Amino acid sequence: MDPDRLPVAGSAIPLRAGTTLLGDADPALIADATILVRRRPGSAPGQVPSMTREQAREALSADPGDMAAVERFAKDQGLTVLESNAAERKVRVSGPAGVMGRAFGTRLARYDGPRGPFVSYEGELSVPAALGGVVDQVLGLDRSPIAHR
Amino acid sequence: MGNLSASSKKVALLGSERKPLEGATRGANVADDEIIRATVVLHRRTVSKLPAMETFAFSHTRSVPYRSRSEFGTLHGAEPRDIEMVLEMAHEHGLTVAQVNAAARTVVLTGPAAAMQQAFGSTLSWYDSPKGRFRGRTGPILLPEALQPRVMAVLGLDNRPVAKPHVRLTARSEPAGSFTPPELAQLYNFPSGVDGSGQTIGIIELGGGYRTSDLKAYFKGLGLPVPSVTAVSVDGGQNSPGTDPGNDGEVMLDIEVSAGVAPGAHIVVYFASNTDQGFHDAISQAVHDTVNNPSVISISWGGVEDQWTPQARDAMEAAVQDAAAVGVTVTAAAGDDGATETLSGGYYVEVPACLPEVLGCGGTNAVRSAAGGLVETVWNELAKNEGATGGGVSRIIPLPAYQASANVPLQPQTNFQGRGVPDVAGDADPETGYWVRVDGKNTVIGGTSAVAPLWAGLIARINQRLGKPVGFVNPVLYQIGSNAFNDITQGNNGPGNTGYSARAGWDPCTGLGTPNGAALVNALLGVTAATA
Repeated sequence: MDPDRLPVAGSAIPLRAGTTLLGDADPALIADATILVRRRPGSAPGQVPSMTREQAREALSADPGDMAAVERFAKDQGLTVLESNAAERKVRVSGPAGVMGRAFGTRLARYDGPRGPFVSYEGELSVPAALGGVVDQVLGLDRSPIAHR
Repeated sequence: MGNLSASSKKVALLGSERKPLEGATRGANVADDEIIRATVVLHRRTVSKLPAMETFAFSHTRSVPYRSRSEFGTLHGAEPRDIEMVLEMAHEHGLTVAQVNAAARTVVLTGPAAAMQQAFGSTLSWYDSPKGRFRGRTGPILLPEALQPRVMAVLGLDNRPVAKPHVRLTARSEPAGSFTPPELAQLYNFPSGVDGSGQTIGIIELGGGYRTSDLKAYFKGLGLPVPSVTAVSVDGGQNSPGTDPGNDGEVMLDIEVSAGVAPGAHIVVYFASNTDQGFHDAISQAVHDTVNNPSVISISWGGVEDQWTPQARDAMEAAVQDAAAVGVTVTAAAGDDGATETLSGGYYVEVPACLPEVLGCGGTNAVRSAAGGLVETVWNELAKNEGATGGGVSRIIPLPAYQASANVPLQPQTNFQGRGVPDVAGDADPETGYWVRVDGKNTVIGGTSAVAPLWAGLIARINQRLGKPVGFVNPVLYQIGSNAFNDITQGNNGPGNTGYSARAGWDPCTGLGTPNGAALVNALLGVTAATA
């Protein structure tokens, strides 16, 4: 990995039985992702029981500076920011598959699985080192249907 | 009446001969202690002759002499003396009488296989066939000589598939053995005087949709006010009825069960796509929804624990920790495929039911007792390819402190000291399922999908009663223990005798058990007073 990048911990796809790689994702496909920003430094859910509901929401939320840094990163990469919500620690972004893949240090690919075709990626996701501590997770590049009713 | 002791002469029930199913291979005998449910169907009493069916044909020109249900039952139901003979026979053989319906001419009996086989002169074995595994018998049913002429059929000992079921759906024209949500609320002793007013229940959906016309017809049919239901879009998701009937069934079940037991609650349905992004974002949006403010979130979707990226599992965990931190209860279905939730075998549990802050909901088979209550065992219809309750021990999530005294076993394949699933249970077997309305039709649906909204509705009523939300409720439930639950002690959730087994106290099939709602409220009031 590029030394200027850091992995998004836990983003490697687990072994999925019955899944085959078909090829690269269509570069024109519009991909959608949720970037989850860390909780504001200095807070932890364990402290929360002694707080009011409003104080708890504040403690669980993201620092506005961290939110702004992630939004800047997304725009610099050519992604569109669809939503930005500090209470949910959520920056939702979209962009063509090629752009999205490059932003997170991967390539989006097409797979076939027991429940039909889907888009996902190989290996781990990464972000620029400057964002390494700020980004907790990046969800949505893997589109496999995770749940059943 | 005659003497129906175990030694009285037995004769064959005419027409009950069972031939081996083509293509089936016989396996082991059914275990002596396997719990079996059989229905004895009696002939109509002979005091009144049923008129020819043409009498009841629809007509524009004459008045059709319909009978009321009670009239019909009196005239053409079972002879009371015949029912007594069945009850006496059951008693002689140590079988439990689960239900008597004189108008329908049925007596439902439950009991261990050894007693059932002796009562009816059958040998039951497991068979494997192209249609799946089933429990079968060959030869006729034997009955005491005095009872035999009065019995039309004994059903349920042999459960070979006779029709292809919809997944988890059992379509019936008459819902014998099924329940409406208000009936279950009454049977589970939900607290009286509260209906969820002032509470909002959030429901997470990853597909499907609801139709307001169906909701109106359903709730009016139950004599309940039509609930206020709001659809919320998450990441572009939409209420989409009609694209997938199975998913529509899920959405309608969730709304009809939660509002059916908590008719005063506001229902908010969060629609997202079925990806880890959609699943996480829906929960997070519901937790942080300061407009609708749900006090309880119901989740009937789940994914096997080893299929998630660690980052997605961590994100889900953070979302439900947020819920706990702001006083929101999260209920989740434990799964419908028994102890084994993957194609590769081995025992797994599901996310989010296995997350420590989530109230995991398992399932039972529930039959009305003669005394007006419920007789419950672990939901297990794997032999009929109709599912079984999820449950077990996580391979990934460690045992939480609140389960320290619950005797959770180590995960069998890994010896990991993992989180036990579920925490609680409710009726889930499609054979004893929920009477609901989906896409213009009434039907019966089961699954632990129904138990998450059942518990969500109970939590809404409890919140109203307490005057504040219970929020993260798991630790106090384990503290309260069996006093507030119906402990389920019979059954297992694997094929045959495999999987996990129910037992006294917490177990990896039904958790602490099904609710005694009023007892739970009293216990929570006691706890509240103690900490005030």
